[in-house]
Amino acid sequence: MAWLAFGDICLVACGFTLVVSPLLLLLLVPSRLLLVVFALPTLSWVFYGLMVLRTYTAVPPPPISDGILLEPGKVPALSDELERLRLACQAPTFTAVYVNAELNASIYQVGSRTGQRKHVLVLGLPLLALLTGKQAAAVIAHEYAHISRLHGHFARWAYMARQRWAALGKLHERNHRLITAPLRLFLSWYVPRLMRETLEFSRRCEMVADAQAIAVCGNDIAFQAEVALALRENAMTNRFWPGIFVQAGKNDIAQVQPFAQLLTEPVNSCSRDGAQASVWLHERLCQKPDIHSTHPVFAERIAATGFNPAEPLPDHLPWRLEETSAAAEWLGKHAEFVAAQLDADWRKNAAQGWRKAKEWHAHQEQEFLKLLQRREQQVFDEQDWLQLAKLAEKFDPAGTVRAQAIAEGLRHSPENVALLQLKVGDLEQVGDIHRAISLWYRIGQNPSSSEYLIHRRLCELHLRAGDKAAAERHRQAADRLWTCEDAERLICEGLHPHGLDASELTLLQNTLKPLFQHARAIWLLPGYAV
Amino acid sequence: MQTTLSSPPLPLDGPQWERFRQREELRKAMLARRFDEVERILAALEAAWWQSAELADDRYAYLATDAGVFDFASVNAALRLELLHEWSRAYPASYHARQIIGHYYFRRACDIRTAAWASDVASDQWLAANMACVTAAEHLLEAMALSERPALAAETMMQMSQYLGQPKFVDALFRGLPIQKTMRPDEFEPDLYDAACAQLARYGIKPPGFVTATFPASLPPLQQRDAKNPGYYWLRYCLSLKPRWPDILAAYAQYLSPRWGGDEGEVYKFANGPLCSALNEQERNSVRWPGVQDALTIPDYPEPGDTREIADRQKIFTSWLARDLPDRLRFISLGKYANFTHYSLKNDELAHQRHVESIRYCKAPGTYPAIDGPFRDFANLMLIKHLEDHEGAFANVLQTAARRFDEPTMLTVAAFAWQFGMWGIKADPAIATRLIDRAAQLEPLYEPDGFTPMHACRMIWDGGFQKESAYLTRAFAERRVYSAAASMYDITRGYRPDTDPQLVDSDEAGQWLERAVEEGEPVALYNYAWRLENVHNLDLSVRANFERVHGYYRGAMEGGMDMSLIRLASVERRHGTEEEKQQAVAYMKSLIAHHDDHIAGEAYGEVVLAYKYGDGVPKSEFIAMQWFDRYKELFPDHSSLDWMERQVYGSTGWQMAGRALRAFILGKKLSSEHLPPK
Repeated sequence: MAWLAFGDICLVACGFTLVVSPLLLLLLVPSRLLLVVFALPTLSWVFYGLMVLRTYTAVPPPPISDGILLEPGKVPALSDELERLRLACQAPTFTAVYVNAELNASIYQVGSRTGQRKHVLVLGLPLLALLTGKQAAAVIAHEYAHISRLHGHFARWAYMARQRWAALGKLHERNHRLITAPLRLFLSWYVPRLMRETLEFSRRCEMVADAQAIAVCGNDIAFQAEVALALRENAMTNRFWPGIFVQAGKNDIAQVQPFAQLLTEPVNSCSRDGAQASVWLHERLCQKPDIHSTHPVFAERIAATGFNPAEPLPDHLPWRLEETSAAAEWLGKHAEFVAAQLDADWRKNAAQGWRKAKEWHAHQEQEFLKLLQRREQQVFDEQDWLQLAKLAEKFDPAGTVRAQAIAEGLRHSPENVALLQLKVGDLEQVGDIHRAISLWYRIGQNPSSSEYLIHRRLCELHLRAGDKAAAERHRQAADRLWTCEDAERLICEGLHPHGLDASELTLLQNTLKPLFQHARAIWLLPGYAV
Repeated sequence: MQTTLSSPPLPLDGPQWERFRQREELRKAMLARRFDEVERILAALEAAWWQSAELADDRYAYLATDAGVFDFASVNAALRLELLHEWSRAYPASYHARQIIGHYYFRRACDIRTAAWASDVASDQWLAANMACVTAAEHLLEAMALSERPALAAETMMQMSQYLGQPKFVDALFRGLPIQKTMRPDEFEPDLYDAACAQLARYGIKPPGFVTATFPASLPPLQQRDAKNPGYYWLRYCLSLKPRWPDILAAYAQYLSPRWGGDEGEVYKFANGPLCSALNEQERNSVRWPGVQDALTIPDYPEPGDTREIADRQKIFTSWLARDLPDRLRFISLGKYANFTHYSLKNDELAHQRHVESIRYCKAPGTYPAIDGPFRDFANLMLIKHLEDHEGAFANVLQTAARRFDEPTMLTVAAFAWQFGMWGIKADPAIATRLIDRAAQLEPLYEPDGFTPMHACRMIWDGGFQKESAYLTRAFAERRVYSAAASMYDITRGYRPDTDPQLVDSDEAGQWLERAVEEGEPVALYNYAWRLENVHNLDLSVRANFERVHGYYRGAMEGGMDMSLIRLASVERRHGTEEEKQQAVAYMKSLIAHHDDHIAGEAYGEVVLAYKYGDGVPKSEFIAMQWFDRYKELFPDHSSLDWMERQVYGSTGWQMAGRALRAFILGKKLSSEHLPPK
């Protein structure tokens, strides 16, 4: 708060000084000649001062929710639950509750003419559909903490300060006149510190809010909520939404209802099983604090619930719904109406992405057919077989092309890592865990394979097979690779990190190492996953 | 209507010229409408082709074509079609009649498309080529129904599918769908349809009508993916007829190369694949060649000094030449290697040695597949570097060219040899004259590439043979071919550096210029118009004179002379009607962003002058100065800059200051739309 206030005071003082600078000159400068000389420049100082003050007084537009407003009368169960939590948290009432398409919950505050603040809660339908009532309650309790502790107020102050200083930064981008030098110097000193402090403040607010959720709902539920959210986030990003867009090849977007589907907890909205869920969490727990993020890192949040991140995870993880979802419990029949509206909005926004996905599907299908024809005419190398196997998974799911392609590719190049990984994927799919484990060990012997990835996969397989000790060994090995200290050295050797941290850099370096024998430079481009 | 057959001036005795003798026989029989003889010859060739799997001589494939039965230079399009259709009517069960008609239409489709990059082919060309393919396919399908082994007809279908696309009606037949009258006029924009019909009319071809072709019962059924790649269907069918057929595999492989949309390495994989398993290593290398050729020559040969690229290319050449290559392929490869040696390695002697070595593998009657490549390079070494013709290699090439009698640039160089007794060839002006006549006769069929007969004449000139070059150029100019009149103008005007004074004659130059203008040569039209304007000072205020000069500039512009745009606008600005002046200035304003800096600068200059003198725009010295200042800023090195500055600002400092003040204070102030763009 002190930093914010300090910045605001300096800004106002500077602006005011500039605006009254002609008067100050008149009072302070005795010589008429000097007054005449400075008369014209001071006019520009006044304008400059007015611009500076204008950035202070400009109010960014209030945030507007893109969600659907819930009428309390239509969702009595939700209203009751919100009231219960409000009383437990000793927080003011939410003025309005919206439901949007995010796997998230948030609040924002707006001022009103009467001086009363309005508190708005935004709940994501995916969050309500994929978490139980108890887990969702922990999330809402966290949000209540923000408004009960005036976090929202300070957050808005910090938000406005950041906007203000960003506007000042733009003002000074091209204006390098001498008179602007003091303020520019102050900007370069103050703004990085402001950002650091406000982010640190935001993180402290989040931890306080987490503590509130724990106090209201209990350690277990808070833990479950954090874990469930993390797992769902992973599933939604890597399985559910890609699975939706895969349909673009066959279906029209009008037939797709992702949010209605979420209400039924589809298979691809969660991990495959508890073993996979565990490994996802292992990865998440390795994430280091991000100095640019307003939220604490996952490990810290879990630790706050009393769980030691270094210990093995509990056997039982909330990777799927074992009770009624919050949406069913709180929204009842109204959930379908909300889902339908969100689906309609989604279809409008996703039309272009759908079209691109359709084109990509058609392109891949062409490639597949071309490969099939080429297979008759040409000798394939391992890359051709690999490409055929990948495409066959999509375009010949029930056929034998994929298996044949993998077999032929491995006959051609028995130690090809990519082909072996496809084969091991098939083994996992049919549940042949022991052969899959053997194959992963074999892949691990190849220097071009990713040690980190192999340890994670072996951890998952051992968990699935019930060998917890082996799973834990592989987990530890993967975690060590991720946080490898040697990575620090690489940054000192002149490798540009491009935003990656040391452990990520090491991983990338090791993965690409075999290619550097044949290439001077490697370009990594984003692309669709096959 | 020309019907005299042109025979090569050199004898065709000897077993190596057998195919040319047979070709002469075939052509004579065709021209004389002795179709029974044509049938007999082709049947015998076909029988021989089928008999031996090891047959190296592809005479049947060479002669059972449109070029096999006609000398295109001496038999015009109308007569060719008349003879083909008469043959077909006279022999309703003749496979070859229909196969060759089909091949003929397909080759015309290729001529219409030209060899340009696909992006440079116009829509009417594509449509017309498509139409010709429809007719070709009809005849080829009819041919297939008349033979148990319609190998060449199927091969042409394969080529058509790969190069131009299989006609839609054949796709419909593939799928068992009914076909209707194809290419109806109402399916296309009227202008496009008319333009396509005009393209066809140049070859005497009519748009296709009602298609009656059926799917021959003897053809195998389609596989699922054949609809997307009909060329593969036809390839499989051809191989079912003749399993060891390296040429067709090599032809198919060409379309797997990256320049035709294939992936890197596809050609190689195809050559190693099951379809080529029956081939020996030499034949397999022939199939690999399209992939290797691109790696050797695309992009162009590396620049001298680009050591890394040169080393890479050298590696490819060396490893390729170490393979077991058939003679013809080794000849072609070595020729390219020699070209690379000359261009990139700058080693004339070694390049010459490699050219000579390549010719050892060129067995008569073979020659270079293209002119702008190793042949041009070899000619450069012989003509400009004056190297000795070791082993008579270059003379051999010219001897073959004289007997082949079908490539005008080679015939030009050959004419030079026979006229002046070069490279051990005994001078024989009569032969030289026949070679020149033949090169001239071939002009209507000629698709210009980088090494035209005029380029060859210029190369002869640059080799120090000025009088000889002038002789040949004059010979072509008198025959009104290859825009030689324009080249004669340059020679007799003395425009070429170090021209022998004996060749310079301004009266003759004027005659050649007029001749070139009559022939519609764009550069000549431009030069002529410019001379009328600036040398003869034609009074362009007289409308008739204006129209005359305007017409010449317009002709030059339509022929691709970009500078004509400027001259045209300049003439209109100065002497046109008010509307023409306004249009000219508006057009010049649109040209200030031309990609060619010189043109853009000239356009700026015209706008400056327009405002200075009030041509087509209100007169304003101030605005003229604004335009000039912008012009000077953008094109500080433009050739017209100094002259323009004198027009606008005067030649002295006082003049400049005075005019600037006058323009600023007294000058007409126009709205900002007249100002130059920022």
